Amino acid sequence: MLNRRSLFATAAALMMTFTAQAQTEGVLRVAISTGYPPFDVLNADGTYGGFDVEFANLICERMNRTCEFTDIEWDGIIPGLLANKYDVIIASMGINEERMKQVDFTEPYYKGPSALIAKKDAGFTADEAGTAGKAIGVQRATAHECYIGKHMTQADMRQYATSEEAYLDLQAGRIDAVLVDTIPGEEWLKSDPANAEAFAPISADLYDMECFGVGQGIALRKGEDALKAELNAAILKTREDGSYLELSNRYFGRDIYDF
Amino acid sequence: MADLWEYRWLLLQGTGMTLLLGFSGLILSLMIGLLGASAKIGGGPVARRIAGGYTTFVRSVPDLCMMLLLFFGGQTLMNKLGAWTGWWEYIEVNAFAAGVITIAFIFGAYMTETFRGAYGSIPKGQFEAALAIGMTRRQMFRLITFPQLMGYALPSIGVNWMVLLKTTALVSVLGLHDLVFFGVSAGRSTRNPFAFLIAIMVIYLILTALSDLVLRALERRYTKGRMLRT
Repeated sequence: MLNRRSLFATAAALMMTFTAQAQTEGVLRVAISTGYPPFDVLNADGTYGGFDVEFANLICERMNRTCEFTDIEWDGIIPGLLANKYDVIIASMGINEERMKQVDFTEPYYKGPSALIAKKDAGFTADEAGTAGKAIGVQRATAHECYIGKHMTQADMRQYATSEEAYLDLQAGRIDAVLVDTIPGEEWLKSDPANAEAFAPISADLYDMECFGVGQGIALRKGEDALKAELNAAILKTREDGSYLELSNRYFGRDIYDF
Repeated sequence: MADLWEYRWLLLQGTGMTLLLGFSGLILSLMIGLLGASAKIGGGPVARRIAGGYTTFVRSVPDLCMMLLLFFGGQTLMNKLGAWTGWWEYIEVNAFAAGVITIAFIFGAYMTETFRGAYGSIPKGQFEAALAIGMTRRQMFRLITFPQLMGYALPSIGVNWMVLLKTTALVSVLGLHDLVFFGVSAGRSTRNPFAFLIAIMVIYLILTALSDLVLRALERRYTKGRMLRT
């Protein structure tokens, strides 16, 4: 029935669909992806915590802005940035060539190697020959996929939505090893004594410039040079005034800026 | 278990969002269903073709694909349109609206088929009798068609609703903070995934059980006076 009421309802529905978002000065819209302890964590009261979140707050302080966080699934985090739903991504995103095709990055704010974690008595080496035929878990859409594609081509690569699911399958015995960033990997081993008992890194520090790039940085849209300069300046300030070191020591007992 | 108790408010919030999405999607899809069914039954050849094409399309394309297309693709389209015409710098495609519209779009097709089948179950003689005694088309719809339509359609609507409720879980990829989004993130953040996944499952079971009760009550109301044994 086409009457005034239904027309009004339709108009209201359409208005709800398109709500104009005025970009408020002094606010930095930051995207994170929780479920990656200890960097991005969802707290019980709905607030966000973790190294990335605290670091983002440090950055915003030094830029005289307030951080506004949006929690979004990892697979959709870059499309969201490109669609202008937020301004930056501070979620331990590795700076690599493939991502640089779509987005821009600041200088790295931490850098870490990767490691292959498997059963302590796994008995195979972390190279081309050793990993042939072994099932290795990685997080989808990360640099680890690239690494396996280059250095462990004979391995059976299994992709997971996050590394947490990969750890679960490692514990279940479904895969032989996981290829993850060393820092959160060590945190996983520490988080449960049973983990450290059964599993350990079976490789030295693994790194590949082409895959991993130069470290984890803050992602932003291309062409936002003023914002990039501000962010880089803020990162340097946290290094200079000691707040970075304090944060890093509190989480990891060491400086993770470089390795 | 302690973790579950700590996160109870977030889980409750997520459940609320799931229900809100579910109900909004249900109401909209019911309206689309009635429209589609009337197009298929009483419409001309063009209307019937459009409605037919719509139901076929929805049944072929995966829900997740449609949702991502509408949300991310729609946003990019709006951005490009704004940049090209210069009318706006950024209009946000609301994630909730995108989720509801996609769900309604998908389940509107299923509801169309539901109503079309239910309409065919109403004895034709009743329509002739209604017109013969001088009822207007509106009166006929309100007093004769609609109550019987609901009676025959309710079981199928019930099934569609159960599937719809579960499909709302897909909106977590749009960044909408529903039960699955909060539960999964909490599970990963506390390194206690199984407790939270089981909790999510239990909550969905409770919602389904409650829906079942409501649907049975509605069915009893709308099939009053119907001869269930011939």
